[in-house]
Formats: sequence, structure tokens, C-alpha cells
Amino acid sequence: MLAFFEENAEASTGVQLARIYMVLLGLGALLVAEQVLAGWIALGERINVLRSDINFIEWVVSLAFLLLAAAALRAAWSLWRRDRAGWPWSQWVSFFSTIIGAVFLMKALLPGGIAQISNLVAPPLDTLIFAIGALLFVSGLLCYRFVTRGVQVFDEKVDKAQGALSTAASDMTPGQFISLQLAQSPSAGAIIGFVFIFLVFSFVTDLFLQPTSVGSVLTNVSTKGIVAIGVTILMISGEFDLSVGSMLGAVSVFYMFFLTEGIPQIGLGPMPMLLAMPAALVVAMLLGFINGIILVRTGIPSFIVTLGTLLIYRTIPLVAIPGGRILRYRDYYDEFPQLWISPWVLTLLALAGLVAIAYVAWRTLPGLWRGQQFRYGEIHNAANDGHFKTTQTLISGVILLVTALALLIIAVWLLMVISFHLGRGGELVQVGFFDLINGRWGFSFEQVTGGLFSIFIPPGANFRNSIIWWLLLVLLFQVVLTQSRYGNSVFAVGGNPGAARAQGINVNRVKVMNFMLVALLVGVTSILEVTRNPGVDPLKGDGWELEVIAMTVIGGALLSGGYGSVIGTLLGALIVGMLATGLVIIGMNARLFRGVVGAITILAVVLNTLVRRQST
Amino acid sequence: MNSMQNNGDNLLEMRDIHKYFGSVRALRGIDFHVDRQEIVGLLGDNGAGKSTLIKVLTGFHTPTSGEIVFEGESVYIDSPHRARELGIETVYQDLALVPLMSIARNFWLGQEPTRNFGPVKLMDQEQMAVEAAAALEDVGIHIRDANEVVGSMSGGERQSIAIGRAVYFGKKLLILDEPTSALSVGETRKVLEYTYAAKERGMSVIFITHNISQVHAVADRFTIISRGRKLGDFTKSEVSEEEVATMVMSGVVPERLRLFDPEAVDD
Ligand SMILES: Nc1ncnc2c1ncn2[C@@H]1O[C@H](COP(=O)(O)OP(=O)(O)OP(=O)(O)O)[C@@H](O)[C@H]1O
Ligand SMILES: [Mg+2]
Repeated sequence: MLAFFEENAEASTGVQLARIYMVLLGLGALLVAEQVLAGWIALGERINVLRSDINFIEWVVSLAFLLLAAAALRAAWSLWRRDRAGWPWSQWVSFFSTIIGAVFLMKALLPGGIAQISNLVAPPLDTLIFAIGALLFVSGLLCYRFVTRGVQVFDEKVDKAQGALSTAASDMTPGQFISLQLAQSPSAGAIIGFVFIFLVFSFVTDLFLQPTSVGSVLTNVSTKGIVAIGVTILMISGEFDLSVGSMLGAVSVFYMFFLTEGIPQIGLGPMPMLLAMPAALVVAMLLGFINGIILVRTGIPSFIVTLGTLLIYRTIPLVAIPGGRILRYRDYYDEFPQLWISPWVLTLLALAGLVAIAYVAWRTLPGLWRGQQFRYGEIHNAANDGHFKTTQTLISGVILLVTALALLIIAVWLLMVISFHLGRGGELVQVGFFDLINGRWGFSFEQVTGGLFSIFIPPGANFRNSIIWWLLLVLLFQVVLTQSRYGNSVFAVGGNPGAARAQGINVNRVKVMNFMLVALLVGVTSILEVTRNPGVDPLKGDGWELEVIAMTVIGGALLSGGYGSVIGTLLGALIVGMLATGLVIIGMNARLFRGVVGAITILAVVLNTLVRRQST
Repeated sequence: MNSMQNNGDNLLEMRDIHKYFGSVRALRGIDFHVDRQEIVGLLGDNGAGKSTLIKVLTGFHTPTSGEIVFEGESVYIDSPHRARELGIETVYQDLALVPLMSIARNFWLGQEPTRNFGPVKLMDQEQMAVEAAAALEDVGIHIRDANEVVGSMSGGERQSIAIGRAVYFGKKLLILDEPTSALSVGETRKVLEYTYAAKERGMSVIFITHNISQVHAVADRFTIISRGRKLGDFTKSEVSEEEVATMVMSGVVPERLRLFDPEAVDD
């Protein structure tokens, strides 16, 4: 392959075969996509082969095959023209066909799935899937082995010795590229675990990849996921908070009292609903501050401090709620609180959102586009001595595309919201306050969002706003942690407190701030939990600390501090959530859940450690 | 002999510094001063209190008692941040870098350059990487990739980075606590060169080391401490390398240089 491109050698048999393979693969993939779209290859929940409605999985599969076909034909085209770009293209195409083949094989070989739903269709279909999978896998692997031969192998030791060639400059095979990316990510174990568990559940049961299950996974895990963000950041700074569950119970009780009877003992009456929220957050931060200040003043390990406050904070709901009752909003008021919002306010908010989107687009897209143009130019720059960054170019192209699309979709949605509200005239929009905060999509706050969610969400599925808050907070704190000066100091404080202090960072302040951040997020979660189900029982949040810490550790954070990521924790939370829902769906005893989470935690950490050791 | 305490060129003066760690009396009344554009070699046996003295100076430790005068004003240095504000930059013997962070992030730690997105300030990571690499290149340290994690580098490479950082940010006073302990001969020579270059640029340097011939080459003056007390200040012209070495080892000042008798002072 190298000779073919670099020395203008005659196309060898291998190159000829690769050309033919790419053409065949392209045509074959087109065929599969067409067959799926036509309903002849039924995947997922389908009994009647001839039914014309296409389900979600089939859309995904046919789209994947269309893309594969396009890429394969693109590769073939450059291979004929002896265009260097053909090389990485064919590497990636064969790489992906191997992966897709493996996924198909997995699907065919795992128990469950179609075979159990429909005996009529199953045997030939399973065989068909097996055949496609085996064909793709074997041929893809062979082709991959061939086309990656002769790629300038990236070898760190050689590089170091020669003092030349940075990582980015040399080209890599997809395999090397991906393992490098994994090795550099704190959450390799979580990524691998997530993909694996996701595939297994999707294949073993058709009920998993359904809106109802996806909704229940996301909704159930979102609130714990929010707490886990804070716990991750705290853990990166080298500390640990066991008291989050108790704090949740305590803050929920306070919030409920603020909303209903106030705290008569100190002469505090019920608060307006808009005031109760910040008041609850202040209480939460106070609890976090207590944790932090005990830690830095006494120097006791945070494990002990927060074990103490775990027990102390729990007494608040236990004492405040009489005799094992459940404190319910309905015991005080018949109606949940309502808000009347002027559509003009909503329109203005949407406009502000549009401005923000435009600003983000203006700051990110041109840079991404220029980078992409530059890299693309480099591919065709003959002066590069063979070190061109085609793989990076492909990836950055995908990033550019995804960013642009995401921004576009949000902008279009905001425009729809604006037109919806403008169309209604000045009539006030009525919405339940609790629904606005953590309502159910497609049910409770359609008036505000312009009836948009109900288009996508089938009636049975339980998606709630907490999912959106969760994802927004993940995004926010990912940026804070990796891009802000504060984030940098958090890593330094956990990684080497002495060195951090020597560089002028106030280590104690960072730690106290992080305890308060955890508490603030617990406060947010309390509000979400109370508004979802307006009642508090004295054991609210009991045991959360363990699950949340499991999510954080699965996500790759080091207990010793200095290492971890919020995105990793997002994956960790999703893994735990998938297990909780998935085990029930496949009919396993729900009591196994804790054991499985425990095993997965250990496995993920072992994987993380292995990958990290390999990378250094 | 001992230079005059109220020298007009005085940059820093530490008066009667005591530092006790519980029952450990690490510093027992040390007077120490640095003139402008002067390289002072701070010498002493292991455990003499050299690192403790400079940690008191940089706000890492608060002194049990004593006074610090910087540029003629009595200052209260309560944190390393404050010392930095005064223009004091330090390479600590034991507190150099954060191993799990990249070179660029370590280099800029505590004073990262930012880009502003409206009210939002984000670190300018590209600038951080480029400038860190350039600054280290300036002091003769070649790195492959400023985004590489420090943990995978050798002890000498790490020490070089810490020195490069201090040289880059230092404004008035540069403190090097055993900066060359992990360096090769060539790198050590470079460190001595920057030390000299820093002086030429108008800075003062405190140089701590056990290698006396090294410091004898660059220093203008030596301060020798022994078991938490100062033996004395000696300008380069008045002592030979051997005499300095003997004093550091024995803790006794030769007759001809003697100002006070250390043995006579009560512990
Ligand atoms: N944080 C601390 N807690 C208790 N004792 C300390 C502390 N730091 C230093 N000491 C003690 O103070 C004395 C002086 O230590 P210091 O580190 O200043 O010595 P040094 O002159 O720098 O020695 P070296 O040449 O080995 O670096 C030692 O006896 C040491 O044990
Ligand atoms: Mg020392």
C-alpha cells in the first residue's frame, strides 16, 4: 500500500483486491440499507415482515449502512485515482465494517431478541443477520489488516529518542487512533463498559431500546447524576462526601416546609414559591459549608467528617417529620401552585436564547471551519513528507458537522417557540410551577415549549425536565472543570496540594468551595425530587451516597484525587441507570442490582487503571 | 565581613526569624538579607533549616516570630500568592509540579491566561501551550508537546520545567532550592547561566545547594546556617571554596572570620 502511494508502484494484487472490495462493500451496504428500508430485513420489534412502518432501530441501521456505502464508494474512487486520501478512507471503512460485522454477530449469537417474539420469522432472519455479520466481520478484518500495513507506525519511544514528530503529526491507523484517544481519556473503562452494556441489553431484549425504557433510565438517573457531578469535582480535588444522601433528605424537608408551613419555631412563615427555591439552595450550601469548614479547620479526613454529618444531617428529616409519616404538599394545599406567564416574556426568553446560540456559533464555528480547511489543505500538500493528518481531518469534520447541526436544531426550536407564542396573542400562559421545573415531556408544560415535545414523545414514556437540567449541568461543569482557571486549580489541589499552594492557590478555599458546590447540586436535586413527587419521607436519599460514588468511580475519577472527568461520570451514571432498568426488563431478580453495580464498579476501575498504566 | 544591615541597596531583609514545628525548633533567630542584583548562596548541612527559611519568606509557613522587610517596607507574607505579588518566584525542593497535569497547565498554574467570552472567562489553552513551550525553549528546555502529562517525565525534566517557570515569571527575587539535584552536568551549567542572566536583568537570586563549587562560581555572597542559626555572611572575596565547605560541614567559623562564637550561644 505504501509503495502504491509513495513510489507510484504498479497496483499490486492486494490493491486490486482492496479496490474491488470497496466497490462490493459499497454496493452490498446499499443493498442492505434498501432491504431494511423496504421492510425485508425486519429488525427490532416486528412481527409482520411486510409491515411498512419502520422502527427506530431500522432507521439507524439503514442510515449506518448508507453512510458505510457512501464511504466505501468514496474510498474505492480514490483508490482508482491513486489519491492519498483513499488510504485512510479505506482504513476507516474496513475498520467500521469489522465493527458493524461484530455487532451483527453479537446480535445473532446472543439469546433473546426476535427469536422469542416471533417464531415465524426468526430462524431465517437470525441466519441472515449472522451471515451478514460474519461476512462483514471477516472481510473487513482482512481488508483492515492489509490496508493498515505500512502505515507510519506511531511509536512513542522511538519518537522520544529522536526528539522529533509530535503525536499529531504522524498518521495513525484507526485502531491506534482510538486506543490513543482511550488512553488519554480518564474514562476509558466507562466508555467501553457503556458501549458493551448498551449493546447487550439492546440485543437481548427488544424492550430496551424503546422510548419507555430509555425514558425511565434517563429520568431515574438524572437526579443522582446531578449529585454525582459535584461528587466528581470534589473527588478530583482529593476529598470525599458521604453525606449527600442525608443532605438530600434534610434540604428536601426544608424546601417542603418553606413551601408549606414555614418554620414557625423561628417565626418564619410560608414563602412564595419563587423564594422557597433559593432559600432551599442557601440552606444546602450552608450544610456543605459546615462539611468543608470542619474538614479544613480540624484536618480530619473527609471520610470521617462526612460520615459524621451523614448521621447528623439525617436526624433533621427524622425529627422534623412526625412519627414516620410522609410530609406531603397535598396535606396543606389542594392545588399545586400555578404560574401565569406572559407570552411576551417567553418570547423574550426565546429571543435571548437565540442570541446566545448565535454568539456561541459565532465564536466556535469559524474557528472549527478554518481548522477544517487548513487540515484539508494539508492532505493535498505534497511537502508533508507523508505525514498528513487525514484521520484528524475526518474527525474534526465530524465535530464541525455535529456542532453546526446541534446549534441549528436548537435555533429552529427556539424559532418555533417564538412563532407559537406570537401566534397566541397576549393571552397569559398558565403552567404548574412544579411542572415547569420537573414536569413530564409531552404532558405538563406544552404551553410553554410550544407543544414541541409531544411530537416526539410517545404517551407511555416518562421523560422529565430533570434530564435537561442534568445534561446542561454536565455541559456547564465539564467546561468549568477543563476550561476555567478554577477547574485547573481543582486538579492541582487534588494532584499535589503542596505544589498547588506553592503556586499561590488557596487550597482550603478550593476544598470548601467544592463541598459547597456538592451541596448546591444536592439542593438542586432536592428541588427536582420534591417537584416531581411533592412529598418527603424521612429516609429520602438514604443510600444515595454509595450509588453516586459508584457512578463517579466508574467514570474514572481517582479516589486519591487529581484525576477524573464529568463526562466520565455521566457515562457512569448511565451505566448504573441502564443496569437498574435493564435487569428488570430481562426478567432478572431486581435484588441483584446492587451486586451487579458493585461488580461493574470494580471491573470499570480495573479497566481504567489498566488503560492508564498502558498510556504512561 | 558581615555586610551592613541598612544597606541602601537592600531588597529583602528578614530579622530574627524563629520557626518552631511543635517541639522542633527549625529556625532560631535568623537574620538574613539579600541586596538588589545579588546572588546569595544559602548553605548549610541537611536539616539546617534552609528550606524552612525560604518557606517562611514565601508565605508557605508563617514564622513563629520575626519580621520581613521587602523593598524597605515591612511586609506580612501570609501566602505564596502574596509572595508572588511581591515579585518573588520560587522553585521548591519538594513542591514542584502536579504529576497528573500537563506541562502547560503546570507552567501557568495559578495565573492562567484567559480569553473572555462576554462575562465568561475561559483559559486560553492554545496560548498556554504555545507560550509555555516558547518560554521553556528560551531557557534551553526542549519539550515535545506542552500538553504532555508531567508524570511521565524524568526527574531532571521536571526540575527543568519548574526552573523555567520560575525564571519566566520571576520579577524581583528568584529562589532556587536545590535546583540542580537531579540535573546532568550540561543542564546544571545552563541553570547557573540563567541564574547569572537573571542577575543581569536586575533580579536577585537565592541559591540553595549542597554543591559548593557550583554556587561558588555564581554567588556574590554566602550565608551559612547551621542547626537553625546563622553562622555568618561571607562575601566571595573573603573566603575560599574550601573554607566554605569546612564551615558547612563542621558548623564552626574559622578564627579569622569569627564574629561571634557559636558554641558560646545558649541553645
Ligand atoms: N513541616 C515540618 N514539620 C515538622 N518539622 C519540620 C517541617 N519542615 C521541616 N522540619 C524540620 O525542620 C528542620 C529543618 O528542615 P529544612 O527542610 O529546612 O532543612 P534543609 O536545610 O532544607 O535540609 P536539606 O538540605 O536536607 O534540604 C528539620 O529538622 C526538619 O525535620
Ligand atoms: Mg531543604
